[in-house]
Amino acid sequence: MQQFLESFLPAGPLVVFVFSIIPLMIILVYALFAIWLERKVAGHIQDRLGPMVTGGWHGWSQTIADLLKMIQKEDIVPAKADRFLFKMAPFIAFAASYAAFVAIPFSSGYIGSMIDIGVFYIVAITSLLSVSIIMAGWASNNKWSLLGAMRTAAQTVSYEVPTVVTILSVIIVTGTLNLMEVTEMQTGNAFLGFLPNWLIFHSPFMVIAFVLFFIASLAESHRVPFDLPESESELVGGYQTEYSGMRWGLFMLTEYADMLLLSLVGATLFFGGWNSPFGSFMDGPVWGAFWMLLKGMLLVFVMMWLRWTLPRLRVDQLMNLCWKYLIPLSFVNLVLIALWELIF
Amino acid sequence: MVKALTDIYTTFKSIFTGMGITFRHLFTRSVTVQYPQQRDVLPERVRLKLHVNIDDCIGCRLCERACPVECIEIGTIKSTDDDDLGETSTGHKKRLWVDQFDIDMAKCCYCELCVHPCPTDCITMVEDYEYSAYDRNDLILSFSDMTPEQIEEAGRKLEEEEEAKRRKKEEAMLARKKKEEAKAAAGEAGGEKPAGGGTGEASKDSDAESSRGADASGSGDADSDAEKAARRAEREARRAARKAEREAKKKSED
Repeated sequence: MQQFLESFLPAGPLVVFVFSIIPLMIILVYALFAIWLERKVAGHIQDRLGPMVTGGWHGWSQTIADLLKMIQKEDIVPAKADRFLFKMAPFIAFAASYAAFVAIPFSSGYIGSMIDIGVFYIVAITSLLSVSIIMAGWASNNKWSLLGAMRTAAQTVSYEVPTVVTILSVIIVTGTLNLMEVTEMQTGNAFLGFLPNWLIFHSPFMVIAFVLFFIASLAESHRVPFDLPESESELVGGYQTEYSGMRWGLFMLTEYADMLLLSLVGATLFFGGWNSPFGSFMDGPVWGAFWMLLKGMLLVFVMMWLRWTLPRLRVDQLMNLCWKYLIPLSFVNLVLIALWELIF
Repeated sequence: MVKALTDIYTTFKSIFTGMGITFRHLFTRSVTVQYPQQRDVLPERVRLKLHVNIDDCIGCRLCERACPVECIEIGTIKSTDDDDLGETSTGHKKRLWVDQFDIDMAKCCYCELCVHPCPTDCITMVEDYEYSAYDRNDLILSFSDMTPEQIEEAGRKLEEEEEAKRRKKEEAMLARKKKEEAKAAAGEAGGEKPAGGGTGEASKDSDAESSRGADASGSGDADSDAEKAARRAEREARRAARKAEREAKKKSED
């Protein structure tokens, strides 16, 4: 990819710049689409239509109109807020989520950085998100914001454990933390004759690992049923309460970017990343990007689907689920996968 | 341990049941009505907006009295004898000018109580629900079709007629008074000097005239007496005519 860009762009820094903003472009376009899709999914699940007017066909440009509106909004900083932290928080949130995309292999031809500790880096850098949320909640000088931030801290710290343990159980199979190598491992025509050589089909315990990972990733990205930090209906938006205009929009963007990030990690670890489901058919760098994003979007869709199905958990239920079910299960699963690897 | 496993089972079972339901609803037809382009068919007896067919209004104010929130305001002017306001489509004679018929839809509680008392069915609920306004005063609907000039004209005519009637009455009273005075004077005169003079003759004359009937008119007490007598005769004739009519009607009904 870098060589390809260097072939028609002159200077070195420019190539690096273009190279590094490709995920940003993907995230922005995806966020516009995903917010529209979310509203459509919400609408149709509730037997409504969702946005229908803006832009003509099924209100496709509703998000663009919302974005334009948001940019024009007044940037309000509460009088008794900590101005510096308050203004910084949304940027740190988005930076944390964007930085994680470096280690995602979008296709066989594009990965931000071939670092060997890919998954570990992603897990580590996304923790910064909870720091930014606590920053936002604390700097707002508002009880609801602070409550939301405290919930986030508790939630993120708790759910990082099952996430990391399930990722670890996948790493036992792959033997590498580099996501590009993990994906390349899953290249291959077929497993058991007809299934693609994806890790989810590697052993029955991988299915359990995926379910655990998916639940934990829902909690990590603060989606329903784990959206306690925001909980519009009880905390009036949680840590976002005092934010308005584009700063609030950045939090929104971060949430959606986070969804995509965790879906892409899930797709890479369990569903073969940029590999085509049809073996060598429709394979290649461009098709790779297509498959990767399609798999990611399917998981994002499942997240939306769940959002409009399940009610929000209580704080104690959230902790119950994590510490009494997810963590023990993920550890048992880790041991079972390790045994499977030893035996077969 | 067993409880934990059954809990996990029920959790997943319920989640998948829920997801099945939401997935089904994802593809069921939505119930949304795309309002400005599509409209629901309204039920037959919707109560949305009041309308008054002012041509049929006889100004009876029954609706005004029926209204529990006093949102109807009606003003009427009596019509004069020379004006014919015609009849309503239901055959009622119109006797009043309706110079004001205001309904404040902002106050209206859509109870439809005003619609039923109307004898001519001129106040009705119509199927119009898009009449929101920026100013509260724009919700006051005025149904009277009279122009200010017409209202002034009607008021002036009524005033003139009343004035004329009052004058007539006064004149009649005055005449009666004069006659009584004259009678008294005649009686006095007769008492003092029998086989009378000019006044006696005059009174005799007037008696004769009144018995004869109508036409003599001019000035003086004799004339006013004559006029009175003429009116009385006229009234009696009218009464007789009405009586005959009634009897005829009765007969035809029998």
